[in-house]
Amino acid sequence: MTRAARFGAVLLLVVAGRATATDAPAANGPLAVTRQALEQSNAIVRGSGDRQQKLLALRDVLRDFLDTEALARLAAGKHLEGRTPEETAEFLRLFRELFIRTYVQRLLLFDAPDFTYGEERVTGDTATVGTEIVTPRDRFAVDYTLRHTESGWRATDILVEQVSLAQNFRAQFDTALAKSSFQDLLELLRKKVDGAAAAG
Amino acid sequence: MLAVFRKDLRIFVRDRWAMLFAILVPVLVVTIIAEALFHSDSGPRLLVPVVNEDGGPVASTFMKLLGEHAEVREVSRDEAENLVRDANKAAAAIVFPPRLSKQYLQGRSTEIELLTDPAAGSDLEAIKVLLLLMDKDAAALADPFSEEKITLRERNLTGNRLSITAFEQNVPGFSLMFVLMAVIFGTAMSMHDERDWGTLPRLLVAPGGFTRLLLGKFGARFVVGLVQMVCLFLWGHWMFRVSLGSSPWAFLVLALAVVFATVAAGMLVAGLAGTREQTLPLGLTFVMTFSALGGLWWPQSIQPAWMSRLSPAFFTSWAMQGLNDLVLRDRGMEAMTLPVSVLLAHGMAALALGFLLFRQRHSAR
Repeated sequence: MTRAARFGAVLLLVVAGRATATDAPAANGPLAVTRQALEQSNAIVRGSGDRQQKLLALRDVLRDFLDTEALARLAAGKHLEGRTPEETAEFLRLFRELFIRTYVQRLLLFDAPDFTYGEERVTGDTATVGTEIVTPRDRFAVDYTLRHTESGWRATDILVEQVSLAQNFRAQFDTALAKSSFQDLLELLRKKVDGAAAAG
Repeated sequence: MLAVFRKDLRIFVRDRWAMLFAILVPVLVVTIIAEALFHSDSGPRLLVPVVNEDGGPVASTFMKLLGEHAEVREVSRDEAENLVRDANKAAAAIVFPPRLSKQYLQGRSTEIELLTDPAAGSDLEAIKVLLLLMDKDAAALADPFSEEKITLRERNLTGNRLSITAFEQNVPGFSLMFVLMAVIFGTAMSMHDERDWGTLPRLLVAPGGFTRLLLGKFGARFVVGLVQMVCLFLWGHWMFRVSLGSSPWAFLVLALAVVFATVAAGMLVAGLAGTREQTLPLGLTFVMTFSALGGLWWPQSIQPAWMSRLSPAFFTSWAMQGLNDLVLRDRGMEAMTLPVSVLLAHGMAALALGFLLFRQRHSAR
């Protein structure tokens, strides 16, 4: 086999391998991870237990699925620049609680959601997975942006009907920080998180 | 002094009906007011028709939240408009627009349409408060950071104005009560005055007979009552900017019917009262009861269910319905057909009964 033929054979194997990966997503790939998180969430939403029990169970599922630190940094943007490590850590902690709660509460708006899954698009260590929540009268597009980390694929943003939740938070942070200080924002988040915890 | 004291007491005790009414009136009035304002029975729940053009989870959640405080009924837009504008069974209807759920989940604000009947006053305010509560509860459920996801756009289905003043809500009812007082007492007492003054026997032997005498007195009181009512409402219009509606003719027709029924009620009181002394407590019973149950003091929607069921039997309910249609809903002559017809029917019945009783009681004396 000539050098050129060997190169061609290797290239073919690589292309074939990629094609296989696209056609049949890996068991621990972005689509599979997303599907697993959503199916677990669905089982919780449809299952027995009161709202509080469902909230707690969903939080546990989503903590593993959502990369809230990446989400928080995306949402905070430049506002984290120049903050002390303590301030940053506090912001990340509060954001994690708030974001998970927001997502979970929105999920709980659907009584018995049915999910359909689109295709996954992998580019390097990032991917997007398209899904839809299907209700009797409508469909809601929910796209997940994922990043490959040491612990596997984790969601770094969620787009509901093409609107990014992280960007949504960012707009709200921008508005809040235009009127008050970062400390005030932390205080506001603290109140929201504590209030939410008290309210269940 | 002791002799005068004993004489007055003897006169009072001698007229047992007057004594009974004097005790009965405060008991009756206090009971009605207490029942209406502080009753434990919460009455029928506030009806909130909902037009669900969204059909998504957010509209469903909103409806569930509203349903905790009101009777939510999902209807078409036509049905909702009919319930608010024509049947006046609901103070407002809520329209959840298409894409409400999508926009809400996107974190975007959505405009919710509120089809209102401003004449419903406190019920409309109650629905607006419910919407605020709903928004707050939904925000707490769905988005703990941003709390203003809905804005309201009101559309008045029953007139041109989005709000009405407190004067417009209260002045017509109280004006009507004073017409009631003046006309019922005036009519009832004037009938007995003739007897007390000794002019009744002379009038009875005058050409025309008893019925003409009664009709003559009725006519005089009718004119006085009409002037009183028109003056009171003109004063309210001038002083408090209370609307008299878009049609002066409709107002006049309603005023004629209201005064007719009121004078007839005065005739009935005159017929029921055996003496002039009895007309005072009996007339007071009529005025207070008819004012309370007719919705002259407060909106009928706050009354307990049993009181609301009784209300249509009192002509004042129909008078207030007509006045509300004119003053608060800017309606014209077409809206007067029902209240005016019922007022005339009430008036005829009361007049016939009053004439009959008075004739039986006094023509032989």
